[in-house]
Amino acid sequence: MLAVAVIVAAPLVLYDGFIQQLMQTIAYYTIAAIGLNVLVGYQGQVSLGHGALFAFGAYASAILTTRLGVPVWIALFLAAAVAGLLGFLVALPTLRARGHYLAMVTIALAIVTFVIAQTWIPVTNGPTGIGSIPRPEWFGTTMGSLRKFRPLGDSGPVLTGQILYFWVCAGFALIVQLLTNNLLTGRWGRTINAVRQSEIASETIGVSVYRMKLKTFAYSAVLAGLAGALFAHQQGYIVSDTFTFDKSVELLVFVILGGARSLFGPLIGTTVLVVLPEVLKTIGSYDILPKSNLPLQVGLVIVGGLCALGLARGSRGATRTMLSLGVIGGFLGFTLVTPQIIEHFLLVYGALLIVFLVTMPDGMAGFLRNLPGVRQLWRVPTSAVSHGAGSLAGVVAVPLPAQRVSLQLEDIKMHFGGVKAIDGVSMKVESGQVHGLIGPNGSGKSTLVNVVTGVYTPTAGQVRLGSRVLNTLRPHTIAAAGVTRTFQNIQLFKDLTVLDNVMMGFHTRRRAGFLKQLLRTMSAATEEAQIREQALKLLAFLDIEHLADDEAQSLPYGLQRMVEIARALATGPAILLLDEPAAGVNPSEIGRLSNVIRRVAEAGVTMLIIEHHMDLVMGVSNHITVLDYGKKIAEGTPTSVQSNQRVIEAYLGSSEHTFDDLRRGRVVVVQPA
Amino acid sequence: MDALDTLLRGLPQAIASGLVYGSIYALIAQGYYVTFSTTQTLNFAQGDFLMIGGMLAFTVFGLLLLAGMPLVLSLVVALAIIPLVLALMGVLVERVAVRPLRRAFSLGWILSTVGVAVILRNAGEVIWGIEQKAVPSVFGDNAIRVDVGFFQFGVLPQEIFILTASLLAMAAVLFFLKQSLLGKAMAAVALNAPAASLMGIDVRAMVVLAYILSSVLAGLAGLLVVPVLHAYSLMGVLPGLKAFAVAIIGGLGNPFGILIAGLLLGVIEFVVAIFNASLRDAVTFFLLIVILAWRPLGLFEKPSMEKV
Repeated sequence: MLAVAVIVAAPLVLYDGFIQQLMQTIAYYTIAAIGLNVLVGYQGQVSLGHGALFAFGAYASAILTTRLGVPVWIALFLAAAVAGLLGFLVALPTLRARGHYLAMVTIALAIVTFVIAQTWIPVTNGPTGIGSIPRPEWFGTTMGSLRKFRPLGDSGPVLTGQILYFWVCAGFALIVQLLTNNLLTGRWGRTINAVRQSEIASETIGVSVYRMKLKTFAYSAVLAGLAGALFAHQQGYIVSDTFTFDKSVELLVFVILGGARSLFGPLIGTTVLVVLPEVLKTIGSYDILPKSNLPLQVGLVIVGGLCALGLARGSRGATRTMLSLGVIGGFLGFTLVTPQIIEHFLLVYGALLIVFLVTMPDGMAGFLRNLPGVRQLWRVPTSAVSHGAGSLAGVVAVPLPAQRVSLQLEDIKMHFGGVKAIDGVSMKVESGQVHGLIGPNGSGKSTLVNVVTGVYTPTAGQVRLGSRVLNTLRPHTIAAAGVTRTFQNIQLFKDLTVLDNVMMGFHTRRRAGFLKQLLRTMSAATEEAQIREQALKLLAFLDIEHLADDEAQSLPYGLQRMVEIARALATGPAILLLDEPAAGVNPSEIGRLSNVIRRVAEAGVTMLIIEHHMDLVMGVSNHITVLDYGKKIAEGTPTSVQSNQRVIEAYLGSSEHTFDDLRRGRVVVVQPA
Repeated sequence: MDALDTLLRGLPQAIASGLVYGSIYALIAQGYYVTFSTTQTLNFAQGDFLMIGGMLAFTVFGLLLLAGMPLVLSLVVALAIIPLVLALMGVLVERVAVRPLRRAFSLGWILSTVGVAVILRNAGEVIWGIEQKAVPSVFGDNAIRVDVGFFQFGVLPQEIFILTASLLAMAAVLFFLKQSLLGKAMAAVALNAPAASLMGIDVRAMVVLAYILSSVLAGLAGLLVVPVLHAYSLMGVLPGLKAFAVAIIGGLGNPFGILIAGLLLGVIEFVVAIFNASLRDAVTFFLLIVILAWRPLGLFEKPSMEKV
């Protein structure tokens, strides 16, 4: 409401054609920056090619309206769709790779787009450009014109086409901001955050990382295209020289300086960076400040320099804030009183970019948030409700006894070059059992887990869940089929809260699609609330509901393990694989861990536990398989395995000792951390 | 048939010119490799460092020629001054624009080095003006014509110098990185900085050294090319980006791959230019998109498997 009031009032108060045009510019760049922030800030994928998508939006809308006579309002949406489609096509092959490769491909996209715009004269008119791009009409007035009129009679406000077009741009920006907030504060935001922090963990709870990235990229491309189209209709003509690589950098600057991974960072960044240059130019062109005053110039340089030195030495809190302001103030002040510099505005812009980046590493939004006292305003009150330890069956979809299936491995081989990590292992994990998998270091246990969960594709052999063959599937499909896992080196979504981590586990059973989340429909909101409720119950089941609002990375190792188990249980697994659950866990917490494993088993979840901790694995398992050098060397009940000579030899090197010696510490087997 | 004929007649010249320019792309790209492998960051102002190298060469040649010194002396002096200035710039960029912004998930260094690029382009314009500047070649301007039946092409002596000098410079850098103790220390920092630090290696010094090396390479490239390309403030923009494409296609961790990719792309560019000169600049980036779609890690890099 407030936002609407501001948008309506702003151009009426700031009654100046130039300022109104500047405000239109802020509005459409904000749209592009919001989309880019979803991609760069939240999803963690860098695009240096959004300027190209912006250009595609601009050209699409210009060509549609000038050559094909499509009405402006329709062309805007078509242009956004064209940019989205193009983004999708570029991302399709690129996003399969990890890391910075999207950045590289998008740089190429930006440059290729520029060259196409320059040279494909029949379509783009190159540097001459496409002119007389129509502007939308409203109240019989062409938007962007400066002609004054009073639509509400003589006493009403005086409007111009310029004001109308600002309202259009700002209206779009407001809608985009609200819809994107819906996405980012809900499940979508949680999921792309999770993907950024651990792709592999996201996969094993059923998230298709690739598809998620693709959708995010397409969404941000649509917004860049819409912004480009609004730009084209504001300018009235577009030339290829506008769409150089610098345009892509500019958009990224808006996001990073404004504050990546912040809902309103793009708006703040765009506003400051569009307005600041104009302010500097205006002040520079008037004789308000003393010019070329040497003592003043030197003084400002010294102040800025000292503050920069202070920052470089490392400081925190209020001191850091003051020093940052000192650097920025010193720099801007020096610029303003030195006419030789301000004439070369780009020089200032480049330096300003570096100064802002270094003094505000979390962007302006982050800077504001970290100001003393502001953090408290930001914090959302917690809502953890205690439900008491309940039963698992009421919380997650534990398979009924009749539907339970067994996991079968047939002659699995996994070779890495010449190394035979697994060399023909067959085993069966019967439903309803706790199946232990032990073996000395390097015997192939973890590789086996990776094969079963789809992280590795086996060289030969077959993994089956009931009658379904798993070994050709991707991890997220395997998770959806009912096989999930925890990790030896815990893979939580570190920045997310415990509750969010567990809510992520429900991913495969959520129904609300992208559009419903975007619009935050009733059904999407209800689903979110239900899942939240279930996640809290699940936390209660594991006695960790009091940690719901803690950041996952703030917990000690043992509790992180519990959260990881909770997240895995949330997927409603038929088979749960625990990869060394006791690794790194405090000895006093082992009892708690065994207890949890037993209770999960009682609830009907079949488990395969890979473990070195003999007390734990012997205590909870019904059945044990022993691996050595990639082959199965023994199988049976815990007691029978412990007295098996081959097992004792594999573990202790000779048959003189027994497993009891190992437990009592008479023999020490060195384990990796 | 006509097209084939044009291609065949133009091919020897395209290959000759392509190898020359390709070697420059490779030389700049080695700079990306050096910093990326030690710090996972790279300097997007690398192309503009080339421009500074070229401009400094123009100044040195101009001053000494006015003083009546022989051309060769100018080259020697430029060879002494340019690496020194560029090394200082490398230290400065690392300290001011990269080090404060090297954090997990930080993209700040991309933008801050772009900021450096913007500053340099404009500073270049302020200091040296906007007109294009010619720098004479020590080796004269008489093209060497090769005319052996089918093989007809011409090269300038300076172009032969470019190819030879850049190959030598690359060889020297590689020898330094692979054979010297300091080079091995840099490799150790690249593989595992905390472990290297525990072994007594000064990680920060290695990072600074990487930036010095990459900056000097770009400066040398500038010195080499100004006699055949005119010096102006935006001269580094396209070579810098093309070298970036070369580094990606060759593989950011693979100096030999970068050399081959550089030469290859140089040749491809000039072959394309036989038919359509305006597409010359686009073809590199088009190839980059195609190659990355096909082999995301570049032509010569092997994928590694993540261990969990």
